[in-house]
This record gives sequence, structure tokens and C-alpha cells, in this order.
Amino acid sequence: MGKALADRFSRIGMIAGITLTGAVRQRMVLLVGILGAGLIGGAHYLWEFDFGSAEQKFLMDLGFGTVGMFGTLLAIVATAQSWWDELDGKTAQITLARPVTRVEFVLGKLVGLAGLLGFFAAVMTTILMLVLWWRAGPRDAMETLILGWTSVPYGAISVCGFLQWVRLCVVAAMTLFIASYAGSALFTIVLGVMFAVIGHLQFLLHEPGDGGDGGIGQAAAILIGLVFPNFRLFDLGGIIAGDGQLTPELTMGVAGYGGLYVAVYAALAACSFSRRDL
Amino acid sequence: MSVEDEPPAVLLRGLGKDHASGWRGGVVRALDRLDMRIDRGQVYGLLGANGSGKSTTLKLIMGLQSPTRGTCEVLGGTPACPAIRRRMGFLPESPGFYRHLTGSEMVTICGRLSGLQGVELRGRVAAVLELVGLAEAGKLRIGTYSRGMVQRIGLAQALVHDPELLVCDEPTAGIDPVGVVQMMEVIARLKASGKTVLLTSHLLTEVVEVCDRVAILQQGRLIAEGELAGLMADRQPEVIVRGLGEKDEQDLREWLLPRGGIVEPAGMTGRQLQHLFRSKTGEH
Repeated sequence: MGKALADRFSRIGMIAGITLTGAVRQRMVLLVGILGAGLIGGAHYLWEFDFGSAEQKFLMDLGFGTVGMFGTLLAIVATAQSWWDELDGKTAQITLARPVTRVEFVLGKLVGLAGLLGFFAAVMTTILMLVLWWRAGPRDAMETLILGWTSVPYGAISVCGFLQWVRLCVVAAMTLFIASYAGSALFTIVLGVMFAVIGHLQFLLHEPGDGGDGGIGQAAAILIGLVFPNFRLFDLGGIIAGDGQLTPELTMGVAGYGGLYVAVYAALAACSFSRRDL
Repeated sequence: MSVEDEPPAVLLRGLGKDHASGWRGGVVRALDRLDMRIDRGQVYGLLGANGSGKSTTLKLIMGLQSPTRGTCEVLGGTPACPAIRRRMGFLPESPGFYRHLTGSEMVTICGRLSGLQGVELRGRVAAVLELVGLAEAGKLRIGTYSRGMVQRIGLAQALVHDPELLVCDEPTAGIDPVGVVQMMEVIARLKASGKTVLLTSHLLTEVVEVCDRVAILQQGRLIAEGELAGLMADRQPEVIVRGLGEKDEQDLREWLLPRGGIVEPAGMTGRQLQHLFRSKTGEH
């Protein structure tokens, strides 16, 4: 039993490794990485569009916004491209003609993509912290008051970066589920973007007066609330920028919420792909 | 268990496959009630035009598709079972590989996915790369390979775990004549070592050369099956006579005419063309 499990993990690891090494070679990944790094690295020079925010808050909002937006794009396109490269290139047939189950294949793809997104989130968060460290350099009291600087909460920023990664993993798992039954890469990307947009707007269902007036509207709101994750929950950068505290309970709760959706969408993808003819 | 007691390599009973077509629930019948048996150690050729159901049959045998009807038994089990697939090798039609890997890395990964490890894996990778003539080129990235080299790496990955049953979909597609001969030699060697090979091909000359039995599919139906000699038995013999002078040919024509025979130019056969190519290029 132990060896069978070890073999299973070994196969998942191999598929993940191939997926990761293939994904980092995608031109789009490089493009998104450079654009994201450029935007965060040059965030200070965009402060004139701050609409009155303090510099620190502006930098954090822009930084995490960039990780979220570019990361979402990366999660959708890299997942779709990696998946369809396997199916169109028949490498999926070669892999699945071996003692590899469809579940292992899907999990391997997901782990490989999670690695890519983790690398992306880590690099972007590091660049953000470097920019904050640079801007938080020695100042006098008046300058600090005017620019709205407090000490940089590096630990909390790392946690926010981690939660952004969890969110991107949810997007990748959703896209993988779509790809498992889709007929083309384009369909996968379009539907993946739609799912992501619904997830980003899902919080509107929880606002007072929304979600229908009972009956069908209420049922639809509950259904959408269950099917699509509320991506707003992962945006905790605003809390730390506003001098709030990230409690371990809140962090674990959001990470668990994301992990649950990753597990559900991965299971759906594996189930759907198991019935697919190659 | 003796060889006689062993289950056949492939046993298909009433196998059928429908593909959904369009939004209105339309169905395209890709394969219709196929019965087929391939015994161990045979080289079996599956022939047919494009769309006749050859590739579908192979994918059903490899467990890459699920049958709509009937049963598919491979090496005594179902191809859905990973333990059965461990004993099979598959070369898809026009395979694509990870272009950033070298040929050797690709075959190594395939070997590891099939459960090989350590010294055994390294030995098998070296052996199959040698077998397909890519011992040196195995160090190059697949992105730099020609179509024929990709096809050979495809054969290497299919053989790396020393499968009992090798399934090849158009193994000679895209390969030059010399490569075709080498591919057929590899298959002949597998046959000599007791392996079972199932292949599809458009090159009938090659099929004749290596196959023990053939099946002919048309629009998803089996229209002929058996040993080549048996299938050809009901055809009137055709004889090629070389080196006749004009007078002798005229005499032969006059002799054959009242007996119902005819004389017509044979033209150049595929085999003659192949010999010509090999003699001109100096390849053997």
C-alpha cells in the first residue's frame, strides 16, 4: 500500500515537473511576469493617480491589485495552454497509455501550475516589499505624516502574497475543470475569464438588498454563491494598509476557503476528464 | 500457466463506438460490432481508408476511449486497469513530445511513468535509443528533430518498459524509405522475441512483409480478416515475367489468350522503387 501510494505521488510529481518546466517557457508567462514586475516596480511613479491615498496604501493596493489581475490572467491562459498542448500534441495520450490514472494526470497538472503561480506570486510580492522598503527609507516626521508612512509590515505582506497565491490556485483549478470538458483552448480561456469575473463580483450577492427578493432570485444567489468562490475575501491587503491586523484565524479561514474550492474544482475536473475520449 | 492457456493479447467482442455529433444529439458510428482476436506473438495489421475506424480501435484497446457497446479485453484484463497498461506500449499517429526535453529525457520520463527506476531504467533507455538509431541524437532537444526522428523517439518511448503488446498507429507515417525499412526491422525483431504487435498502416507493402494476420475495416465495419495467404487465396495468381523479348512476349500473349489469361505491363512496384532508392542512395 505504501509503495503504491509512493508510486502515485511520484507520477503526480513527474507530471507536475513537466507541466512546470513547460509552462515557464510559455512566452505569455514571460510577458505577464515582465509587465507585472514593471508595474509594481514603477508603482511609485504612478502615485499622482492616487486619488488622495497615502503612498504606502497606494503602493500596497496597486501591488496586490497587479498580482491579482495579472496572476488571474496568467492562471487562466497558462492552464489552458498547458492543457491543450498536452491534448493537441498527443503527449496526454502517451502519458495516459501508461499506468497513469486520469486523476493523477489532473492533479499533476494542477500541482505544476500551482508551482508556476507560486513562483509568480512570490516574485511579485518580493518586488512589492522591495519597493516599500525603498520608499520607507529615512524620513523626517513631517514627511512621514504627509506621505502617510508607518513601518512596513513585511510579515503581513508575505501572508497577503500567500493568500493571493491561494486565489490564483482556485482560478487555475476552475480553468482546469473547464478545460476537462471544453473543445478548444479559446473556449477554455473565454469561460475561464467569465468564471473569474463572476468570482470577483460574487461579493455583490452578499450586500444588503441584493440577491433577489426571495424565491427564485434568492435561490439563484445562493447557488451562485456556492458554485463561485468570493475572490473579494482574498484581498486582505486593504486591511494591513489601513493599520488593521491579520489574525491567524482570518488567514487560516481564507486559505481553507480557497483550499476547499481548489479541492472541489480539481475533483470535478478529474471526474469530467475521466469520461473524456482522447 | 502454459502459453496455450494464456489469454489472447487482444480479444474484442461486439466492440462499438459512437461519437456525439452536433447539438441535436446526432451520433456518428465510428466502430460497429467489431469482433477480433489477436494471439500472443502475432504481428497484426489493421488496414482501412481514413475514417474507417482504425485509430478508434487502437484507442479503445489502449483505454484512451470507452466503448459504447461490446467488450475489449487486453492481456486478460481491461485496458482501464493501470496494471494492464503497464504491459502495453503505444505509439500514436504523428506523436508530439515536449520540445524542450532531449530525446533521452523524454524516454526516461516515459520509463519512470511506467515504473522503471535506477540502473534498469538507464539501461533500457540506452537500449531502446540504440534500437531506433538515436543513441547520439538522444542528447539533442526534441524541438530540433525531424519528423522521422520524432517518430523514432515515439517508438523508443513505446518500447522502453519492454511491453508484451506494442500498439502502433501508422508507425511509418512521415518517415523516409530507409526509416521505414528500419522500423519494419524493429517490428520483425520484436516478433522474433515473442512480442505481440498491432499496427495500422497505409503502406500495404510493409504490412505484407511483417504481418501474420490482417483485418480490413471499412466505415467502422470489419469486412475481411485472416492470414494474408488465406485472404489472397481466392485471387487468381498474377505472375511477373522479366526479360522477355518482343517476339517471346507476342508468343506468350497468343498462348494465353485462348486460355483466358492476359498480358499487361506491371509498371514499377513499390518494392522495386524502394530497391532503386536504396541502391542510388547507398542506404541499407
